[in-house]
Amino acid sequence: MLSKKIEPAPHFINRLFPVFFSIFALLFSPACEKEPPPLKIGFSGCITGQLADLGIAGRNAVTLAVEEINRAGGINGRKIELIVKDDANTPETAIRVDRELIAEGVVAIIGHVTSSMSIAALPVANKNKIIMLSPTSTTNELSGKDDYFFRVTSPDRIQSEIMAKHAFNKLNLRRVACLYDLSNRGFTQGWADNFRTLFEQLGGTVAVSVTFHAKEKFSYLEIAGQLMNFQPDSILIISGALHTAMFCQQIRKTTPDIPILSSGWAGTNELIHQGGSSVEGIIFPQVFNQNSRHLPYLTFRESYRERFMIEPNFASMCSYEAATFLFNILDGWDGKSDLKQILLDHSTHQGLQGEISLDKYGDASRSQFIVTVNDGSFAIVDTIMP
Amino acid sequence: MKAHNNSGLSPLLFFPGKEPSLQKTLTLSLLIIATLPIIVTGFISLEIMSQKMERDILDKNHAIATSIAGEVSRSLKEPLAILQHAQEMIDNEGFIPNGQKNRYLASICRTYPFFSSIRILDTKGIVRHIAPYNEDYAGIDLSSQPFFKTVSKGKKPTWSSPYIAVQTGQPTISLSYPLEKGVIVAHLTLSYLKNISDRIRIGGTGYAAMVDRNGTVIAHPETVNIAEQQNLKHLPVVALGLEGKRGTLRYTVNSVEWMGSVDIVPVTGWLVCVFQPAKEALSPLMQIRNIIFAGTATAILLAVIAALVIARNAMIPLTMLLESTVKIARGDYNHSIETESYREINTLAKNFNIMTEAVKSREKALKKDMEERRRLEEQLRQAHKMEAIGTLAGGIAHDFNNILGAVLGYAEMARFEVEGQETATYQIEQIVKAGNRARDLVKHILTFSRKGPQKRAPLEISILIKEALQLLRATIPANIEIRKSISTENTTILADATQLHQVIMNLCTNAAQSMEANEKGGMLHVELKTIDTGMKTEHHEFLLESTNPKTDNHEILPENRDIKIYNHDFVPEKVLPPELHSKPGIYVKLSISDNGAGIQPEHLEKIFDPYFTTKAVGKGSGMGLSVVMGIVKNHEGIITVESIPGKGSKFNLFFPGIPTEINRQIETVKPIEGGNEHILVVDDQEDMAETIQLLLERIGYQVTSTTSSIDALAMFRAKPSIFDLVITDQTMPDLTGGQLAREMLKIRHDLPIILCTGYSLRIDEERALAMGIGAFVMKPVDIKELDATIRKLLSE
Repeated sequence: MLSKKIEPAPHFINRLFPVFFSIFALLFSPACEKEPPPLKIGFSGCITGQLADLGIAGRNAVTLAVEEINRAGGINGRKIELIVKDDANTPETAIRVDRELIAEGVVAIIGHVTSSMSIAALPVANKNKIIMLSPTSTTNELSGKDDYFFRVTSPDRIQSEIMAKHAFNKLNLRRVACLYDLSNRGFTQGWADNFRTLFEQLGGTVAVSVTFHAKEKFSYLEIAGQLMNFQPDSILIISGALHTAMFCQQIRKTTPDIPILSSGWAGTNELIHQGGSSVEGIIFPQVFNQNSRHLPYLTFRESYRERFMIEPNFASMCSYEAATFLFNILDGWDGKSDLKQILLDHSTHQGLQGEISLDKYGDASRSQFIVTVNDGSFAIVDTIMP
Repeated sequence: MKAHNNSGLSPLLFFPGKEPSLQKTLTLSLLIIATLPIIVTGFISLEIMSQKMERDILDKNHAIATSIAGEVSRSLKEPLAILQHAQEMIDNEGFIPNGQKNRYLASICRTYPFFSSIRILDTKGIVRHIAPYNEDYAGIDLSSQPFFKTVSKGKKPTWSSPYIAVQTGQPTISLSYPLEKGVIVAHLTLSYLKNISDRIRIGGTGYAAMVDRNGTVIAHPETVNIAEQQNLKHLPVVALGLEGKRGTLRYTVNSVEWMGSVDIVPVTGWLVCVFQPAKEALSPLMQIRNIIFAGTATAILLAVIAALVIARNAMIPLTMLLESTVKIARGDYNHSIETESYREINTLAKNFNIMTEAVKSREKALKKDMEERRRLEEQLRQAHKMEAIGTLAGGIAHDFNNILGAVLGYAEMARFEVEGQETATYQIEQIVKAGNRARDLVKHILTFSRKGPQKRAPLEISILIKEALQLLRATIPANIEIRKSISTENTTILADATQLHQVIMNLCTNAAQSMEANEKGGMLHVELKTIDTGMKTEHHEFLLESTNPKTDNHEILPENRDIKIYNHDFVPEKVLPPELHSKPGIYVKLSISDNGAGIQPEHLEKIFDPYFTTKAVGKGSGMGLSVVMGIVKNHEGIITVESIPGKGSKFNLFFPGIPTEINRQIETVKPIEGGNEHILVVDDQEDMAETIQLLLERIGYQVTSTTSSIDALAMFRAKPSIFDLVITDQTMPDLTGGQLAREMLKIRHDLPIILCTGYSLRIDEERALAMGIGAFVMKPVDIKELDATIRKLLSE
């Protein structure tokens, strides 16, 4: 008979014992968190009130970008958590909400959407060494400074220069009456001053500069009358879309044909909705071409429409670009080093409608458009390459 | 024993991983039995309940959504009805003059404060009338507003999406109603709808909200969501509603599970959504689940405790058993296990104890057997030594006796020769004296080696003892008391009175001497009694002469027949030597004891050796006890000694008793019979041959004698039939008695032959008898004995 020594296997009970207890341990242990903690980013801008159109568009776009990247698995396995704060377009609120964001642990802030708010809140970002990447703040006050402020748009100076040249050279305007909103003085006043300087250098005249404050009570009709009293050959309105539309309505009541110029700030659909026929032919510079055929833009527009069931505007585009730009930076970030340096190292970014390049102060240069309203929709009049 | 490891802990006490551990098995079994049913039923009922409850909650939430949608629908009917009324008023030409229209609108606004403003637009979208009046808005072109486009085109009342009103900066919705020429638009702040959702609270954190057709919030308990125009399309339940479907969903947002229901407001296409965190909605379920979990945990805990207690109750005695087996395996048997556990285990422990006892006693017995064996070997060696000494001494003594006979004979003759010569006579007398002493010595030696002549006859030993003690009293010091306990019943033995006398004197003298050193004197106790070891019914009584309870050592008693030496250390007094049992019968026991110096244990084994003495030189020959031993053995008796140094010694002598009947028979032995048969006597010693011839002839026998064994054989060969019987000496030149006998028996095998010998070896005697020699007679020949033997042989 064959005799073979067989090592006896441990009895099944001895094997079952640890298994049984692990099952119990699993049953009574809290479910384990498998996901790493999310990467927090902040968005701050005005999302309520009369100037909310830019902020809401921006917030929507950033929300879309965050939803998209999270669907794609996040950044290095970490999901992005977006924290949105309303700066209500007041400096105190802007400072407060940015502090709140930093306290909540955001690694960067996308915002603000208006220049005044960016100017007000930037010291907070600088102090905490947190990147403030603005989609739409174009104030000259923040250009040429080595700080934590970055933006995906060009400084006002570029747009106001373009506008001055276009007005003088193409439209042959010589006497402009200027109106601007003090509620976003950081943007409007600089813009107006720049325009004036250049326009007058070219040989034109700014007949009058009238101001109003969006948050205060005023009469559109009266202000429009004040402007017309100086008998300008054109009107420059530097304000948000609704205010611009309302001023246009008043102006058209008396002077149906006078050319109206504006800043890019007003370039949203609210301008057309509220302005109706009064905004037809209005001219303003913008970094946004609503009818761009760039594939990234078309894809974005489709997604945006799908998500929010409305058209994206320039603020949407810039905010989306700011978000994707930030994601690119975060992708190569080790979680410890200063994001500012990485941002500066990645000076070019593929925008939705072409390349965006940042200078050493974090100011972008990109294509600019001269836009008008034709038959109730925006149309490109001219394109100025960077 | 050395096989165990040196760590001190036996591997038996550890549980190697191969076999199942009893404790684990018990614990696991109990766990499974106690918890499995709870877990299974718990999970099944939990599953059924959670499904049903979820369904109920979703149905309930959906019902809430539906009811809110209905309420919104109804509440929207009021502004619609108002605008419809206004439209009728306005379109009815002349009913309200153009100049009165602003005032009319203002009155509506006042009456129904949910209208923030009402405007009338002409067909081109220009604001014609407005309330409350605001010149900024009068006359402006709102033709691009989506509501204007929709109403102008569809000619039916339209609710707008919320937008931020320029005047208020608040999200606003507008209700537009087509006029015959133009549109009437009423603006309602979304706070109007807020009242609806504010009322709806579901559970603690559940809420209702309303979104427009784009998914933007228009009613929400958190009004900031309205102001911020939050778009909720990313919520699956909102997305579902935007697809035009009503229903309920369970989904997860930011790791929080929600239960959402959606219904659609028919007029506007807005969605009413009811949200509730699943955790909250299902909290009763969670409670039940927790109860089940707690129950399961309790069951497990109890099962574990029960298992541990049961296993412990079982394991402690088992572990004790294990430990005990280890100890017992090491040879430590003094462990009895006391358990208070389950019946089976208690029984096991009890049986185990019994087993241990059995092993213990067997091991003890084995040990004793081994000791006994060693002792027996030692005794055998001693016996052989004594036998050898006896043989040598016997041989020397025999020859020396003959030589001494010649010396004494010639000395006697020489004395006659020198009669009158004083000096020579004196010297020869000294030779004779010395010769006699030598003869005594030889006699002693022969007695020791049992080769001396012996004349055993029935003897009443009690009389002999009394005589001996009388004699002894005169010779031993007066301060030694002699106590006698002499029984006179059945004390007859077959003995040589002289030798026995010598034994008693010797032992008593030794006893007296051992007490001489004691100034207070001593006591010599002589005891005689009869014992019967054959009476089985009273075996113990006879076995033991006293009630001494130390009986359990009896098994160590030796069985050697020759020498009985009992060490006082382990041989209790008054215990009979075992050979008395192997040869049951009546024995006469003579005990001689003293309270003298005693015998040192190391000497006990040697006291019977010839020439062994502890006495001073000249005080004793060292032959005394060896002679005593020889005599006792010759009498088929047994001698034992018990001694405690400093306290005394006791010698016990056992002689086979003679039954009274035999006693009488012996007493009536007939005188010499004699006969007339022809006997051939052969002895190389002429005087011996002559003496035997003369003695036999005197009692009537016809005798032919010769000193040569060769001649004897020749005579016999010549006429084998003329001799009726042959008596021959053993030790002869040429042919020994044995050889002669063998030759004769070859010729005539029925020839009775008597072999005479000065000493005998039992083995020789047996061999002689076996080869056909009829009898064996010791020298010097007693004529009575010889005649009896002759008569016995011839009559066979």
